[in-house]
Amino acid sequence: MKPPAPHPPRSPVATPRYWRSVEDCAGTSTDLSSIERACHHGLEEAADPLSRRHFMRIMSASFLLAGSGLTGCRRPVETIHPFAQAPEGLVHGLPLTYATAMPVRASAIPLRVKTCEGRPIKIEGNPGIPWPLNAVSGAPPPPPQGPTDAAAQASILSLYDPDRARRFTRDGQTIPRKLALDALDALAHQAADSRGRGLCILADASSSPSRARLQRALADRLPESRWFEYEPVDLAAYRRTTRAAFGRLLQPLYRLDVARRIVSWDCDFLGNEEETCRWTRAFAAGRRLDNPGNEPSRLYAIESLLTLTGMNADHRLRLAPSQMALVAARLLSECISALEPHQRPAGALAFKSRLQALARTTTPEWAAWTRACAGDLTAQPDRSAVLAGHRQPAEVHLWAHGLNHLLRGRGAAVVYLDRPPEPPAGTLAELAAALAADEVRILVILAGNPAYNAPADLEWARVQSRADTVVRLGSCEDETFPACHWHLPMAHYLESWGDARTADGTWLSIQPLIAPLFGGLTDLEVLARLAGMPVTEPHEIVRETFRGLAPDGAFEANWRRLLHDGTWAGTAYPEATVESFDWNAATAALDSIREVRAPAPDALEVVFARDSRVDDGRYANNGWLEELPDPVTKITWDNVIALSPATARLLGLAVPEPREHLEVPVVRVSAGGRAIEGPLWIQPGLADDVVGLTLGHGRTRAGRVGTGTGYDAYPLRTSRAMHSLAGAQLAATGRVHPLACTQNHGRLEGRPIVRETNLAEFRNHPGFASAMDRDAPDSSPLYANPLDAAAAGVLHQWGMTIDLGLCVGCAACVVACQSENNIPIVGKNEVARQREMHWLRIDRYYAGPADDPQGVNQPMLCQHCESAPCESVCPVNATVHDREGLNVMVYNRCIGTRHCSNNCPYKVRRFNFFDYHRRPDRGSRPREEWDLLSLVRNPDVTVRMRGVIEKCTFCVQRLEQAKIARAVSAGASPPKAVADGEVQTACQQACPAGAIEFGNLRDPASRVSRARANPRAYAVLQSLNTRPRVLYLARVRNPNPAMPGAPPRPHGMSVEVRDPEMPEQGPGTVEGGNGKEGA
Amino acid sequence: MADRVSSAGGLAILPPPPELERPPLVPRGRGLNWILDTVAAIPEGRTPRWWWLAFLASCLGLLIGVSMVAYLVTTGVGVWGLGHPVMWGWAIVNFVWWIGIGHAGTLISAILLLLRQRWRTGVNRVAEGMTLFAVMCAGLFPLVHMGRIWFVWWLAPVPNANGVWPQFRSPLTWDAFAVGTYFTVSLMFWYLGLVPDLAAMRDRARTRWRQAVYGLLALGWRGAHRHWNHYEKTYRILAGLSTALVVSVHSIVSLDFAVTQLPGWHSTLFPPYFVAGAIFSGLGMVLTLVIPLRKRCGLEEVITPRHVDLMCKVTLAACLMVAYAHGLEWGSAWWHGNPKEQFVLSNRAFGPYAWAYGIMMLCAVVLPQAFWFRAVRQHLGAVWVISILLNVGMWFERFVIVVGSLHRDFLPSNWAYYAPTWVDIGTYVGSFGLFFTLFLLFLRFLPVVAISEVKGLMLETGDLQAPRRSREAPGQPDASRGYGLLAEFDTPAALLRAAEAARDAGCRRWDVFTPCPVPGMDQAMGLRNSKVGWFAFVGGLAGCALGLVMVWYMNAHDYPLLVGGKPMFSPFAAFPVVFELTVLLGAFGALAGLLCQSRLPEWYHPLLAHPRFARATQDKFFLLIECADDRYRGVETWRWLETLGCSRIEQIGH
Repeated sequence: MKPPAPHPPRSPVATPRYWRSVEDCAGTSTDLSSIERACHHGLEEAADPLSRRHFMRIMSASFLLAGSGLTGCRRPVETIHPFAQAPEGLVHGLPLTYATAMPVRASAIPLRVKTCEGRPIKIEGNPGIPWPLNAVSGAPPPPPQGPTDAAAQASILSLYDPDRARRFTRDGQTIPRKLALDALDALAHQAADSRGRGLCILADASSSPSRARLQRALADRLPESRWFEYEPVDLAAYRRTTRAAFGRLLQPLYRLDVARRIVSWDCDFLGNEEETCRWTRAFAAGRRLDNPGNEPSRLYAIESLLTLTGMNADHRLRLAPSQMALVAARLLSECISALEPHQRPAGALAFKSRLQALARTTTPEWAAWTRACAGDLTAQPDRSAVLAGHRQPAEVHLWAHGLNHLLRGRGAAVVYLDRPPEPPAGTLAELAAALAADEVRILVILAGNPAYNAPADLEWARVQSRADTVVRLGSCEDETFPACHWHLPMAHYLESWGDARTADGTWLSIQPLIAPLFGGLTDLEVLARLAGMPVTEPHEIVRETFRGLAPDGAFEANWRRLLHDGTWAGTAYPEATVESFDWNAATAALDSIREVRAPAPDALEVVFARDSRVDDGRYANNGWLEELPDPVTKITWDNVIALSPATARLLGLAVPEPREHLEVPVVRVSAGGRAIEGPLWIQPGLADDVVGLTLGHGRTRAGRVGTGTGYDAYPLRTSRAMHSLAGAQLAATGRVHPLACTQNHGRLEGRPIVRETNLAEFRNHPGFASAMDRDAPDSSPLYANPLDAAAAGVLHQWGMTIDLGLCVGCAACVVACQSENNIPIVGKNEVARQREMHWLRIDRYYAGPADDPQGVNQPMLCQHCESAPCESVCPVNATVHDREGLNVMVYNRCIGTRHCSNNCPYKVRRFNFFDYHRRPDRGSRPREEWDLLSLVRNPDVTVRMRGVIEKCTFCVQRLEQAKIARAVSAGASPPKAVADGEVQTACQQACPAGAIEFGNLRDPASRVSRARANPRAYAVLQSLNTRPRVLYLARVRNPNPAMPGAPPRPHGMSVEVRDPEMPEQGPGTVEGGNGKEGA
Repeated sequence: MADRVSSAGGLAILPPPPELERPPLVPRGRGLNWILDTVAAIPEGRTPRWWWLAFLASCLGLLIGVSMVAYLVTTGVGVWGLGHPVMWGWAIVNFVWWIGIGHAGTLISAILLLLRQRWRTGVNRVAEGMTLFAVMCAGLFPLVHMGRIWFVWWLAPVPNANGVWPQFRSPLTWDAFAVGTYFTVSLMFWYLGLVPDLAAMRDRARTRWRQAVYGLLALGWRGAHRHWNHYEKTYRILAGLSTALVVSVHSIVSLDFAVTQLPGWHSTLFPPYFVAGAIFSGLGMVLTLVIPLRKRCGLEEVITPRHVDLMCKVTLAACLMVAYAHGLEWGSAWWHGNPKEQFVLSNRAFGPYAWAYGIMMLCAVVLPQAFWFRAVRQHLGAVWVISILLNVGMWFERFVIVVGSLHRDFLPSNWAYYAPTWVDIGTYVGSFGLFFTLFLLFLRFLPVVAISEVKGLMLETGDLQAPRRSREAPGQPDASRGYGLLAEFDTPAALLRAAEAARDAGCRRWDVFTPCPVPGMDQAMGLRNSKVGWFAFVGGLAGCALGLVMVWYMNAHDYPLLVGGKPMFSPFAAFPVVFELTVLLGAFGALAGLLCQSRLPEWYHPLLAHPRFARATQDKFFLLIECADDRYRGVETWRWLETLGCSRIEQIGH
């Protein structure tokens, strides 16, 4: 029996010893160490007979005709191994939580990770990370939980991914770990002999101070080595362009909580930019509407694709990417005009006159739009922020900085931080040139996957083979793997020691929660070995880096504090004083818009977007993310080629109404001699003559989950056109492709399910939402509800509210729920048959014209109705009510009649059509992989067998834990109610916007009770008298009344005016001045 | 009939003119045993080629069904095409369809019996068999559609592994009781009707095993009028209870839908609508089965075009009720002003499933209107085609109701399209396999026409061929004391006179034996009203009390749970179960009354050993004076019997 690898080194601070499972800790592990044995002894992995489809079949939906007999009767045999020596601080059965961080590009998400019996099982945001700047006085308190996003929530599944790189290889053959490390040291010696000549390192972006330190050390020791960085989707443009604007590198900090007017220039800060979850939180804080007197912010979005930011915008302008700069410049110019003369710098006037000299005319629509927007921005200049997205060229960023500089006045909404210079790094194109020139002898690739995502014109696969030796540290044996001589498995961040900084500079510690499952290395260790450093243990490297930061003395205590908190106070970058903006550069940049031409149906513009779920492809093998519906299209397991309805009409393309299966035509997009093919999707709200492509799919070696989903857009991407591409053609291929879309119908059909209004009308009639219950039932039903009597002596009555004004639709809650509640992945075929298992889904509706609709999101979960229709139709008491108001589902009573689902008006009950969790008796998947996959499960939540209904439980396991903790602390005295905020549902905890409130309705001071008292609160389908415990707070849009064509009511509402369920002649002015002329 | 002129109060009722004269239901001038010979020829004759072919095809279908169900149970309900939001698909459509088909059998055998419609006798046995097999097919679907079929017994009110009882507010619990009761009572009714015919088959049987099997099934039936007295009472009571079931079962099935919140389901119209639809589709199925059957089995004279014509008329009436309900759905949606309900209806008619709605309207509403025309009703081929299409239409009616309402419900985000998989289709095919396999076996081995009832009809119409007078000598009087003296009569009238004489003579231990109940025999024998009714009443009362106590105890007393904000006990929610239990135990009571009072089953009886007595279930009429009777005087009694006009006297030994 081989003991686990000694990783991390025994630290006095962190938990003394990490182990992978109960068996492992007790020294009886057989399964996982057999993986290691397989790696170490060069056990040859047979050619993988498992296709992704096959894998999905086993992992999720067993289509196999299992042996006859009642498989459901079988009970697994399990053994329990007690601890011989319990780890410190562990109470068996109680989870432990550790602070760490998930590094993402040049930033990181601070996390708190829950471990159970030594295995991490749940990702939660770290609430202890302070805002870099003080909150505005009088602003509502931020939600008590730290923000996360869907990718962070899902990252725990990647930890247990059996398709991760699990072995050290040379030329594709498994070699012992020691041999690989020796070879690495030999390479380091070889490089040291030539002072690093011929050594090139290609790394991905990172914010790790330790890595930066090692990078500098490497440059010192091997001065002729070269360092390159490549990110297929580089989100740092907004920061990098400050150099041109202000002459030095600054970190802009957009105070979206403070800003009252926000303009997004193709900046999807709610979905696809750097640190979206923090921006979402700040944005939501600025949108809070606890009473009609609040002043929510107003968001203008100019974008090509329909993004979450666009769906949450009060005004949205669709533009082809080539026109963006034109409108941006125009807006800047209008702002200059609108400002008081004394506020205009001279350079700004020059800019304005230069723009006029270019005599580029914009359409009247844009002119009016920008004029109204500029007037609004300049009305309160210090409360306005302009954000440019990562796809925008440098000049647009430059103008955005200029506009912010112009507007910032007293500098409240946009703050600049002094960011230390980054270590120098070359680009991928430079590396390709060096490779082509045979200047590279040793190429070390840290984590990237250039063979998949390098720009097509670099012909990466060809140039990489010019290097003599390619060493790669990779988390997956992916597309780059075959071209590497040495391949080292990379440790997951939950297995690694490390550090990172958020964009604002806050120092975060990364500590492992489990020993590397497959003996993987971190980039720190590889770099240290390459540089020939004496210390190569990542733990020591990070401590060493921290030593430079922490005050002298009491280092160990400080180190403990860092690990405990996950951060170190006062490490945010200092605020910079910005005096002057380079108006000359801004003016000179205007030349770029001189020869811009508008797209046309025969010369379309292509926009490359990072996928909302699998990012640039890095999460492609994560089943939770693959099955997560795209927030806008609601498509799973695929990416699509999006066209606007008008363009599709012009090109004679159509997506048929889904019948049995949603099958869409496959189209070919070609430009510059390159072409890709993918499924067509007609996306309302997309700019006309624009083709929306998403990166990250179409992987050929992602693993058994991610290989073959969607199409690969990278072959169309060149280093000159990384973000958009003009002059593309699109043609149908005559083939069709099936898609799995979770929502086939996007109209509200005049039903007041999502309710919204405009701010002015809300102030006139705050109770507008409940006034829409036209056929609200008589409040006194025929019988007294026995719950009322039963609840009398109970401490808690649970309830939830969801603020539709704050929810941006990011779907972090969906993955959090999946992670917390052991919700299975079902696979594309099953999703296509509407069998997705998500307990919490996000409904997306469009309203208004198809070309330019308004979008709304509505998280929908079990409403825990007090008079639950599902309960009375169940013949076997499998779903009943408890005294605390929960609609509880008793899985082991359920016989699967599914009548409850039929009678659920919200259709939030999910049925296990197959045994999604079953471990096949004679599957082709090794048993250890099943063991691995089961490690991610939450031991507090039942794993459901096939044939039963399941649904949201309000995370009843958390409620019970909180109640038990209260009872324990109360001792002999009667237990008190759980305090507000002490228990949070998984969705609430994950929500970056703080849109979800949950708590005890008995407590009138609880956050949820106060939210329910909000005049915007309403129950969906109130007319059925189900009395849901989940209330929604109606959305209030804040349009600019001066904007031409601004509808007096949201489109969705003007449709509903015709609906008889809406008050036609009701009280207040909502009905008086309604927009009958609406959509 | 037609040649008879009655007069009441001096008002002469003339015979109808010839063109209005109804064709007879039974051909005139046949012997009493004609019907038995015709019907018994099917099980007794050679197995025809068509039967083998049909049986092979049915078995193949059954095999498909069994494999589909095996695949389903081992793999999961996901092999069907279900998905959100359509959680009930073909299985429930098939369930409702099959159980609806069953209803016509009960209608024909029970309701028409109570309404004294004589034409039912030609087809009631087929219809009852169809009912049973259809209910079996129907019952299959709710079972296999469950996620965990191995726990289906949790629906029964017995303690289960979870320590909880069934939930009696759920229409599915009502369903289980209703369908279970329906099947049980239908089976009892069917079997009860079969008993005299099985006895007749037994008595004709040539082979030993036939005698044994039919004899066992016939329970020792001898055609004794003291039995007929209880039998007829029981039969009528069961008919009455079955009538209640016809109305209740499909009403309760409809409550599966009607008690939900779903627009398109949530409607008080559903119970009568479903009952009418059930009878409609069931009559269609009877026509579908009967038209080829009469041809293939040589039953043209038993099931006449007049039978078909009459069934077409009833079918048309049911069709009009269904059509009215279709119209009323629109009307009530309009009248309610509920936009969601209006949406569901327009979505059915014009939405993605408009094709199904169209098929339904065409086949189940428009096409049967052809039955208004006599020429169509008389054209058996046309009737057959329409009857099949009618059931296609009625299948789609259920499809439109189930899927058409589910697939677009409250929140548009859920909306989806449902389509079956090959397993759905295979399971449906399998149900046909089951149905026809059972039906063909029924045809092959059991009398497909209610022989004794047709005989009764023939006695009533009196168009019998004059019986051949037996010329045999009555035999020599025998003074030995055996079991009794058996006098054989050729006509029921002679027996009736003899019975009156025996009654007047003050005999006590005597009985008459007839192939069918002879009208007026009760008075002739001086029998009083049978007490079977009291048994049924007590049974029903016990069922009612048991149901009420059970529901209250299980849901409100022993393990109360908060369910849907509903009261713990409500007589309204308990009513369906109480009702079904009342009917079930009432039927058990009636049957128990029959068996106890008739002392059946009694597989050995001295009479049954007598070779001559076999004709008691065929075409002869017997009177028995037991030796144990006080008035029995040996030879004297023999002589007395000779004076009563019997054709033959036998001494029956022990």
